[in-house]
Amino acid sequence: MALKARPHIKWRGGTLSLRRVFFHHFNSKLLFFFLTLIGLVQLVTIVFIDTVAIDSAKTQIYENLSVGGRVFTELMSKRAGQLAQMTHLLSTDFAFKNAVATSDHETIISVLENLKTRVNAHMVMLISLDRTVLANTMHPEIEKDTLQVPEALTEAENHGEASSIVTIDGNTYQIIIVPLLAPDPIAWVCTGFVIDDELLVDLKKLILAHISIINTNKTESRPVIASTLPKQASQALLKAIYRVDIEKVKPMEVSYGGEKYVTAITTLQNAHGYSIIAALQRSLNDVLKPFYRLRRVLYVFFVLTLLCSILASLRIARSVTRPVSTLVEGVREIAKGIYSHRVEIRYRDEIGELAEAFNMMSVGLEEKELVADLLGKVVSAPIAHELLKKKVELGGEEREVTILFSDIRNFTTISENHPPKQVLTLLNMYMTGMSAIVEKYGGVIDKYIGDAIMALYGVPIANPDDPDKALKSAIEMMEALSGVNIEIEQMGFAPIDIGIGINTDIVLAGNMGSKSRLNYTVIGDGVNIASRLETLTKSDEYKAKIIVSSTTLNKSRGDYLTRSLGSVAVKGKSEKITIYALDGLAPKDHKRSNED
Amino acid sequence: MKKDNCFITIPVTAACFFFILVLISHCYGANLKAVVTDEAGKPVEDAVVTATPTTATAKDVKKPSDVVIDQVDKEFIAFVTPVQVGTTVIFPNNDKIRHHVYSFSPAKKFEIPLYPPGVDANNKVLFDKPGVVVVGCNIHDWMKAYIYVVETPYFARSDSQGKMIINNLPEGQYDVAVWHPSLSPKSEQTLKVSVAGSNDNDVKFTVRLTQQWRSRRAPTLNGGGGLYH
Repeated sequence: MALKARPHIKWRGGTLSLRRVFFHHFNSKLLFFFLTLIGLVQLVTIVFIDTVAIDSAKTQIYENLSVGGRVFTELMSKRAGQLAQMTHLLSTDFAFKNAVATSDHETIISVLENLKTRVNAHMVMLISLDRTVLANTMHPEIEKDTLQVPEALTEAENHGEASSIVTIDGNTYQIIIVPLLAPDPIAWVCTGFVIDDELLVDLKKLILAHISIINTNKTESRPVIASTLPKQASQALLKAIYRVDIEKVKPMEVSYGGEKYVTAITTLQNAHGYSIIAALQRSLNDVLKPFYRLRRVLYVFFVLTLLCSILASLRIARSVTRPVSTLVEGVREIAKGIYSHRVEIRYRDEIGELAEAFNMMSVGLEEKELVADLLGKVVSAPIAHELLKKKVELGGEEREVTILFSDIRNFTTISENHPPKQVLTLLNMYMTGMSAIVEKYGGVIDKYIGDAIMALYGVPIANPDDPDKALKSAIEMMEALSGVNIEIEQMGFAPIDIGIGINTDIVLAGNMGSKSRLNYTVIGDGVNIASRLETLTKSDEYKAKIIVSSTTLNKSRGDYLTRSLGSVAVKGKSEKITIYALDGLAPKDHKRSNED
Repeated sequence: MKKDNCFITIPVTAACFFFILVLISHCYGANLKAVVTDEAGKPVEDAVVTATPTTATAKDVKKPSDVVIDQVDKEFIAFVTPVQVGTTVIFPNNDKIRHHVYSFSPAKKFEIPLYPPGVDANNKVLFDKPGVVVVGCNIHDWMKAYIYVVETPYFARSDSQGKMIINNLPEGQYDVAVWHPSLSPKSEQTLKVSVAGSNDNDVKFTVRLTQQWRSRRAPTLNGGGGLYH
């Protein structure tokens, strides 16, 4: 009932728990062991490879991005340098200087527009030495305006030129400020080049990463200056940048749209009131794609390995269990008594040795069985059994035994009038029938002495009702005789008559004879008395076919029809013994006997 | 000067100095010796010291004579040229190549378009307004010259020792000022000087110079982009 909760299956007509079935089979145990072992190894391998691969991918991406960041910064710086060169070239244009010298606003605006077109700038400003915007292509109508990029101009004043990323009127520009030399500075020329998504798209092809340029000033209304990312993604990036300390969290990871992006931050500018960074991003999945392919191959490989190990373990298990089953079958056959059974196992290992030993054992058993069978024919089966059970040696023990002697009347006359072969047939037929009755009641045929039968009750195994068994045997033998006589008459003989003598006494039972040839038998006065009582049945004085001693009758428990025949002196005995004729079972007892 | 020393006492130094000036005021042709150094005491070359009379009426003011600013080996010579208003400056070309001299300075805007070596009658410019005129060459960014146009005929330019002499100053009161292309506005200073007789006057200016824009000589890295030197 303890197994009630476990899964059950039908198994050879009964219900067993899966666990019991599974673990009671060597196949299953071996399979379980191998699968667990290989499965665990593979699991550990996969987890290990996964962790290492993803970690190294992250590191690799971050390193690449860091290099990319430096390249990007360098590119931006080179670009600024080129723009500065172009602006310088513009500033040395004599016609431009001439136009500026006219102080005519419209002319100046016009020449600035012209210069703007020459270098593909998005705006050009002319700033006076006293920091007033004299002309601005974005606001051509304003003649004098306040400078929106004072910090950058200060740098130009200090260093001769300035390059900066600034926001003017909501747009972010890379601006260049150079002096207009005649040949001393007479004004400042500021060119602006818009930083937008388009610019980054080109750079992305070089860097092989998403680029976003971000103004990290939290009050900035348009913090994402430009990005190659979709808007949603760049907003996610912005949130991440606001959330973490970008100086410390390296590499940064930003997730959106179910993808992880390794992110590296490079400072583009931290001057002129602007804190501008470039965020370079690469999708972890993109980099891991080859690894995922490898992992799929690994999975397939692992499944194949697992299948192979299943097959291998089944094969190994079968190589063990098949001979074992063969041996088990062999043992079952032996248990059934089929000693001729041999197992055929061709292994040369321990199992082979076991099979060999098994076969040797069955050979031994077969030989023993042969001997026992033969013995059973020569001696009575129980005695044969007793002999085989114990060590066969000379000597005996005192036992109470009931001895039955039967004899055919006038057998000498019969044998004289008929051919010996027919006599032997008759005798065998008679003996077979009588012996069967003796054995039916647990008696042991001690020996056949011509036409006489000597049977023992109480050896080798004693029973309290041994005397009863002898008495009942005798009664049944007499009853069986009529049946036997019918057959005897068919053979052409006259019906035969028999006499039976029964006595119970303490006798010596054991193996008697010489060491090389011995008999299990009993000897003692009791035996002689039984023989003598049988002889008495021939006497007309008693008119009894079965004569039993008072000893036997007293020890019996059943009710029998008996007649006292008085006492009789027996040769070799000083005391007379009381004898009785046994005519059959008492009616009551007879009835009970039938019930048995 | 020794015999005057007995009259001089510390509280009346200024009065005595004035007295001496009065004593020599009728003498002709006094010289003004000026020394210009920077704050570190190093002599300043190309500084211009002007003496503008405040009391004396300038006698026999004649038309100033022409001045030459030469061009040799792609440089203007001299770097600084002080002239009096009304002076004509001749720009001869003593190079093997042509030059294109110009100025966009408010004091004088002019242009002598690309002209060949030699002296041409057209290569002269009259400077009729006071002020600083920065002269450049359109095809050589680094070429630069300063013409300091002043009202007074009394001026001199310092040599490499920072020294100069303004000769033959008539007797009278003068505002003596210093100018230099890189002069910091904070260093602008004017001294009152009385010129009397033929006695020489010594003035000393300590000035602060700022960085000056100069283009590099070709070949250049930045297409003419300049650095301060």
